[in-house]
Amino acid sequence: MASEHITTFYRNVYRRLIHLYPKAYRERFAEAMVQTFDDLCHERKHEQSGSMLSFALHMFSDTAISIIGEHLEIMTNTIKNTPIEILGLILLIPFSLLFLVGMAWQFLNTLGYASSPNLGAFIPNPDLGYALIFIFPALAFLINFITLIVGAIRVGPGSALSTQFAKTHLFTLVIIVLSAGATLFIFGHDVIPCFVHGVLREGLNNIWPLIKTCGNA
Amino acid sequence: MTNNPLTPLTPAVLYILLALSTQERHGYGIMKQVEQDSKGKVTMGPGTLYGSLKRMLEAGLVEESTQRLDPAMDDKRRIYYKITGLGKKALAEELERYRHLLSLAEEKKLFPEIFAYGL
Repeated sequence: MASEHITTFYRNVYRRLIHLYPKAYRERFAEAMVQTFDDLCHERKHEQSGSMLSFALHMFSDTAISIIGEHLEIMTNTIKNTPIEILGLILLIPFSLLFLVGMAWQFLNTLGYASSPNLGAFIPNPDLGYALIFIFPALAFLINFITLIVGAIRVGPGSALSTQFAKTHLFTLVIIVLSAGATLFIFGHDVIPCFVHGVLREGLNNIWPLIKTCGNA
Repeated sequence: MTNNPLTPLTPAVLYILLALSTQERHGYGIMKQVEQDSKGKVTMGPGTLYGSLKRMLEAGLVEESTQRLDPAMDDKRRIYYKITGLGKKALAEELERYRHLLSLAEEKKLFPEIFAYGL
């Protein structure tokens, strides 16, 4: 009776483990895998060879390794199929890290647990810092925006405005939104308010000097 | 040479193809046959088995079968697999590769040396 409880317990654990597989894999093989596990449990009980624990550990570790392998395969395929989007994501990493550290630092500063944020301390080379924070997000936006435009031209204006196009280019769109947000945040701190204020004050007559002035702000 | 991405075949894939070369089998049936063929040296869990089967299906080495050859263990959840023409070709090529390696080892008179070291 006790062994029946243990077997049921292992079966339940195995079923839960199977849920960690990627959806497509799960839909195709989950039922068959559970059936095979049941067969092996039945055989183990019938033969009474070795402990159920060592058997279960072998099955669980084998399946856990397989789960990791399937997810890694999906990640590898994603990288292979969407290199521009992945490059965009990588270009956004330095800004994202500095943004998060800056926000956390600011929060702690507000609570009185830290000094004023000084993110420059993390970047020894000013040119590198400028590239990491200012250029990379803009570059990520640019390359993904061009990819989207090229895709839209290929399918034609009718299909480019469809939901299907948005679905198939979802990753590109996400990167565009993130990089545009980052770029606006970076330049928006000083440049955009300065520019908007200048235009409101002086109109569009002296636009080029205004761009230069705000660019140096 | 067959144009499949799984060559050279991994031990798991080779044993699965060998198990399916004689008849169609379901997952548990393949595992039992592999265990028997390898004299208990290769015991794969469901994770390894179905992971290998997925890649073999994608490469066209095996395919799902609608037949039910084991009525005693029939269950709707069971999927039977059979070897394809491409799978047979890949298996034949892999066995030929092993045959070539063995003849090479014999030519170089490596066997007595290996046996002398008890390997």
